[in-house]
Amino acid sequence: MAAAAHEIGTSSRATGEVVLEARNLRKNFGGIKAVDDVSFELRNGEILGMVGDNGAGKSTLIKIITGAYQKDSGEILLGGQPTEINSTGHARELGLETVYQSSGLVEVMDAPANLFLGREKLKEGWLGKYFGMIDKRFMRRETDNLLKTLNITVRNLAAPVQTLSGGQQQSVAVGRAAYWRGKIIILDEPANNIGVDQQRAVLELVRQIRDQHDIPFIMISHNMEHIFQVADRIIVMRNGKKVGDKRVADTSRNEVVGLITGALA
Amino acid sequence: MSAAAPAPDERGGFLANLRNYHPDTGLLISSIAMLVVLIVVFSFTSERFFSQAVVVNILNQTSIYIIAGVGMTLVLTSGGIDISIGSVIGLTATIMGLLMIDHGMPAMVAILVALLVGALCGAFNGFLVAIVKVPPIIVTLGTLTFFRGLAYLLGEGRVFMRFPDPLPWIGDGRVLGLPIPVYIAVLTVIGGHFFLTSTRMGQRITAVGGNEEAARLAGIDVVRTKFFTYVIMGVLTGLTTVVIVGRQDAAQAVFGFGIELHVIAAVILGGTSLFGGRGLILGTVLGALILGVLNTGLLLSGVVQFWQLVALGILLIAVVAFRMAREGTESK
Amino acid sequence: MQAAIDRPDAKGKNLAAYWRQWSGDYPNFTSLATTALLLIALVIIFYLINERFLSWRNVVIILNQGAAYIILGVGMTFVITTKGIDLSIGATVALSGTVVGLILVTWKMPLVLAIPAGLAAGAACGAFNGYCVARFRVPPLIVTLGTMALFRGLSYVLLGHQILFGFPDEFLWLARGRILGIAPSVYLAFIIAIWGWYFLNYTRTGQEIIAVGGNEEAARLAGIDTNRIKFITYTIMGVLAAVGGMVWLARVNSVQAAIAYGVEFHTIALVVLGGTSLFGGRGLVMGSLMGALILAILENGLVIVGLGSFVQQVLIGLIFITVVAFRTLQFREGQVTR
Repeated sequence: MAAAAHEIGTSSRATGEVVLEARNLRKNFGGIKAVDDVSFELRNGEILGMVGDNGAGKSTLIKIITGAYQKDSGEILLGGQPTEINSTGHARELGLETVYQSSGLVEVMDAPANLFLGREKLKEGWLGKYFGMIDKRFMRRETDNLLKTLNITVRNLAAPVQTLSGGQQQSVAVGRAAYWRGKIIILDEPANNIGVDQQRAVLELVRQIRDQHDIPFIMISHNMEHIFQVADRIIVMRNGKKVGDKRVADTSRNEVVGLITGALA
Repeated sequence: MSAAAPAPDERGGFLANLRNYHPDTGLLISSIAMLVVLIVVFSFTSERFFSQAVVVNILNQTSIYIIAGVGMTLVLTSGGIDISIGSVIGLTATIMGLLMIDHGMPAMVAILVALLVGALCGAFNGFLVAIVKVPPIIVTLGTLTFFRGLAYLLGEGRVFMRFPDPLPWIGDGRVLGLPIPVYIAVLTVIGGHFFLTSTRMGQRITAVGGNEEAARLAGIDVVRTKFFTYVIMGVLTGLTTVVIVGRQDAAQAVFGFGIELHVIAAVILGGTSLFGGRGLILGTVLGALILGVLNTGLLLSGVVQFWQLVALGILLIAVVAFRMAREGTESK
Repeated sequence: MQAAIDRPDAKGKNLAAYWRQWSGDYPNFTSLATTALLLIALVIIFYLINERFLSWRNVVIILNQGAAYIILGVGMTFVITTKGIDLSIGATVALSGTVVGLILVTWKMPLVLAIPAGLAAGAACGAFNGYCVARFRVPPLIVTLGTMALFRGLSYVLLGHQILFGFPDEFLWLARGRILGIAPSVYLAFIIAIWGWYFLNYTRTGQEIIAVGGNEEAARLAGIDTNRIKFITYTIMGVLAAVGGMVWLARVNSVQAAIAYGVEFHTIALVVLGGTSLFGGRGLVMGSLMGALILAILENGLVIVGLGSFVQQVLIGLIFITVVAFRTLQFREGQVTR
């Protein structure tokens, strides 16, 4: 059953070329197989949902891919090249942008400062070269453009982001990942802790970024509604193993829930 | 120092059993080992180290750190800090002087007033920390200046002397060859240990320091608990003042200057967590003894007095850095 | 951040709601404005009590007194912005001052040697603090409580109870010379304040200092080397403590191991007066500049009014507690409404 699903998942109907491939990943924590021989691939322009109960291994899997944990064995291929991901910083350099469910933004700083956090733009010419002066006007203009193209309305760009709603803050975080031309954007429970209307806006944003920029997403969520709203394909994790890999068009909520709980395994 | 920390023993030896019995045992053992090492070293560098006068002197000095240290242990356990205690001592001492010397108030009444003044100072700190929710370091940095200023203002630079009985006896009297302050310290420690480990309020202080949010959700009145902790600190600071004034048979506004450093150092050396949630009253006793032995030992070994400050600073940072590193590896 | 409620848009609301929104959007401006108002009010009050307060002579004295506070305040603004604290700056002033004093007075060596040596001593003190905070993750409060004893102790070891005085004239020029009627140290202080303002707001490192204090986890996830930032911040504090110390030495023309005792309180007080947030992530160098002037004005004005130094201490302590309580309440209100 799982094997069949896998074949469907990788059928030629997937949109672009393979950007990320995980082969036989394993990770043990003191005898517990947190990730047990998991393989999957991610294609350009695809939104891949990842579901599973608490402790099913999805967050460990994601942490391996974003460099927070080191795998015990297996292989990760980026754009066809075998790649060792040493740290979260390294993952970012490789074009893997992660959006966390919280603590991704510095709340007391304004949106432009957050968009360029850790990657501030220096002024052209001697001011930037000799005095290390950052180009606030440029950062502000870029932020303004980005938010406009993504239809995020922020009342006042110069205000600390803590004056924004939770949904707007999360939109800025997702927008940031898109702005930096992430090759792959990973969303960890992106619509938790925010209002229902705003959840929809954030998911809409995800779809829009995919459509505009052809960037693939991996999205972890507990919320089946969210997954079915935006994902093209769903990976189901259970007890550290991948038990399902289905195109959304070919499956149903009931089937996915069955895979999660083990009723269908 | 590193030798003092018992390595996790997988075979289940004696130390491991002790640690399983009580998780704080390792910290207490490391403090005891540090103390023993210091005593052994100083017994080589100075012949007089074990003379009765020296031992009594160490105990005397230590008892002051211990009385205030019990209060400081509670404050640190609640996740706070109080660096104003030196100024509270100065203010309380000045008020005691005014009452007894200028107004002829009987000693026992003045002692009660001293405890009350301490409690009021503590309540002031507690109000700002618990109710206004200003960070404790900032509150007590402000009251450090404020209380000391009040002390100078009231004392007008005077030195009050010749206090009525039984105050000098409290500071300097002997029972069974031991100074009275030692008995006071022992009683404070027993009371403090019982309070922290076996009473509802003690448990709440630990809970608030350990995880304030969880404590609040469990229905604990966080504000009241914190406030109360600072009041206890104040009362014990008042008690410390009584002992100091009694021993010196004098009082002036400058009393207690810089004592907060020694008291906090004693508490931290004893294993109480800087981040709250773990208080070891018995550890504080050991920490105070370590400081007392260190001070007196350096002095007897002919080391210039100023090196004491240097040694204290290095010891404090080294021990905390060591503990942080160990906690870091344990949590991984 | 978890709050799901939108801050109500104030359009068409009453003036108070509009003000709340505006002050939430521009917290820095509101803090600076209140500090400026306090400064102006103090000047007017003291002038009304005694006209001599605004005489040129007295203004020069106030600026001279304020210079060291300004310099120390800039460094402390950085430290508090990272959510740290430095209690050891008085001791750093003493230790670097001791080095300068020994070189200039005891050994009668030239200024070109003394100044770099003093700065190096300050930098070493700051770097030690920064190393312990960043590398061992010891809380700044404990590190600097320890180094407060350590640096002060070392100053005593070097100097004992001696008081060194009789600095060479070219060193004293710093505080006693006059350029256009004002001491060079005042110019130095203002230059450092302007640099500090620029550094914090317009350079990468400055922005990263704010980010580390505002949300260390987010800063780390964004690829900022938070340990490096902390190390740099405490080292700058150490260097500025040495500079402030030299200004101080030149003004009083002496140094002893007990010099600048308790100056950490005044410095932290002026930084908080200036509106820098105790909860990290918001540093107002220009606010600290005004805070330093407020402190110098209070010290000077209270003497002119005829109040002794004890009253001063009580009053400054009281003002500090009130301002901190006020700002904390403001901060918490901002958190609730966001």
